[in-house]
Amino acid sequence: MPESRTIVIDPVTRIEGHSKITLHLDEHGNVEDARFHVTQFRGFEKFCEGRPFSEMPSLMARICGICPVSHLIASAKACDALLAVKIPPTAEKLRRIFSIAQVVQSHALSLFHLSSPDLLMGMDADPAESNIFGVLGKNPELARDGIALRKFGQQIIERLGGKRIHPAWVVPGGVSEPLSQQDRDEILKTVPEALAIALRSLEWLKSTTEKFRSEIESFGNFPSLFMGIVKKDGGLTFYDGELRFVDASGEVIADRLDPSRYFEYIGEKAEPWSYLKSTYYLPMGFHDGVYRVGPLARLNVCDCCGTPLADEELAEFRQLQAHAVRSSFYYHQARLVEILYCVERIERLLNDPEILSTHVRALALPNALEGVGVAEAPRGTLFHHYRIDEQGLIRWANLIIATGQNNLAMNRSVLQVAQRYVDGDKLTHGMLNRVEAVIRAYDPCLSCSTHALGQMALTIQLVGADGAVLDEVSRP
Amino acid sequence: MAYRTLIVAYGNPLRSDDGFGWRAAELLRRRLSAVETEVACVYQLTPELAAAASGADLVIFIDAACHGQPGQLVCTAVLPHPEPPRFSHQLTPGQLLAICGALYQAEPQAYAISVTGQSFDHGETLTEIVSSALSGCIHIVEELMQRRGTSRMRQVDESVARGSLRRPRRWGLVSCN
Repeated sequence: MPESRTIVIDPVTRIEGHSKITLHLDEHGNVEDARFHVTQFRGFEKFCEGRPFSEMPSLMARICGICPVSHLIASAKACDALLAVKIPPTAEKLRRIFSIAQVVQSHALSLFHLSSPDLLMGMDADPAESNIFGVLGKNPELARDGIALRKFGQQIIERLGGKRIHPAWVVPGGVSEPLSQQDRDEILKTVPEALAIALRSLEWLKSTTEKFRSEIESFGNFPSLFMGIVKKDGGLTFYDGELRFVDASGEVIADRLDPSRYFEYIGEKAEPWSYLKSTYYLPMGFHDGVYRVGPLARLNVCDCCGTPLADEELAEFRQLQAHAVRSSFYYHQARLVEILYCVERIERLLNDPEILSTHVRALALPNALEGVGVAEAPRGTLFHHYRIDEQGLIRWANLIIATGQNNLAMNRSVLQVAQRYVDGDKLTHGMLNRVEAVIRAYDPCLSCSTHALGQMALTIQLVGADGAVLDEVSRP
Repeated sequence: MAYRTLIVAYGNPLRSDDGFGWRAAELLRRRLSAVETEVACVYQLTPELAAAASGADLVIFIDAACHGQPGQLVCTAVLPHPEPPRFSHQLTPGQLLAICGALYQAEPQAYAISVTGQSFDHGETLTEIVSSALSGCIHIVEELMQRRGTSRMRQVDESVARGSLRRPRRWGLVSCN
């Protein structure tokens, strides 16, 4: 009698962090369910309890080696709320530059280092070639461009924050040091090359994407909501704004929501099979309230980018699908549009007459016992929510990270890809890679110091209900 | 034209002896000319460093190792090694040089200095025995920089390339201590 079976992909490669995927087959060998399991545990919300709130930005930055700046900014904004201060305008502009410089380097990492092997060599390529050496052999200019864009973002972070990883320059009330004229001028010199690379890369990606029509149709191509913060005029922003939800048709269903009241719109649920919490749009419930965040969502929720080159690309992006752009394969293209926007925006902010002002910090003691900080991290909307006691010690903290908000969508995406490609009777590397690649499209950050690659030893097993291994594919 | 040296210290300074490279880098920054020497402190070797290495004539990696006698210093010549990495943000010095050559057509001379650590537990200080190796590390760096471009250094590299010197892991070994 046929039996149900389970396929386990462990670990998922070329993502930030540790996870596995299980595919559950019915008695006919068809995929009936799929789960994306995050197998690492962090616990930052608990062990910060009892610490002085002023330590939070530096502590929270340690959550991640890829996007520490986003945690710094969301945390500092939560602390600004505890101080109940309005930070100086120059400090806000410097934080904005800092934030989007990180978006550039993080998006470049995702696209050029982690996903470009799939895009250049195809989903069925030999896993031994699906890595940076494969990329530099096949398209060295692309590899150089990826490195240059990473360097562009990192040098800005280093010049502003003093170091590339875990800078402590963003503090409650503003930033600790102003920008020097020399650093401003040096950064500005690097803008033209970064712009040229962003445009060149977009052209390359758009010409490549057509080869992946089948994947576009099945890589998380389903109706869902999309969420992000937008400026008061509906424009794209990474630093500050109001929450907006749009539905699968692209219609705004909730707008101008106060991000500090996120708990009125966003529900959280934990599952016993993963350390990653799932979130959903509360008014629609757990099953219908699936929403996506990050580059794809931001370009679906905003009315415009607000910079000329990125707005041209946004107009083209909106034509990709008749409704909201639903296929998660397009996260890649959305990333490059955002890189373009960020470079344009950095140039504009650096040319702001106030940017060299030395008034960059508001000093105060705590004036509130609760504060929420919200920002757009590279992977989506990030919430930091703290409560303190009269002594300024953290008594409770809640973090909602982008990857958790994409968790339900990632699970649906894995299921869709598996049902499209997986033959339960015979596993192939191409099948395995597509299941992983759809996760890579979301660029999940599972916090985040170890990053496995395609060459990593990997085994998929088909295991029968009696525990017998029915089939196995291994990478050496 | 100035002879340019890139010193890449890598490790985790919050993991006791794994921060050896960073501590050595702090000392070297104070001793060496910033015009001719760039010092980078990083957690892991990443592809971006290939761009920096391409502008250098000499690259010196400083790291902590977990095998051997605690405090033991080893200096190895590094040759390009284009083996695919196991981790996307964690290259070996040889892989980094291979990227440097493939993307920027640059072949700087390169050496890796490593100290065997005693403790990799949480902590911001080095153990006594590893701390005592700092002066030896500084000496090796200065020695390598003094030898730069000399025939002695080239001979060593040629010997390594021919395989006549011992090769731990995939790098040629030059005993400098």
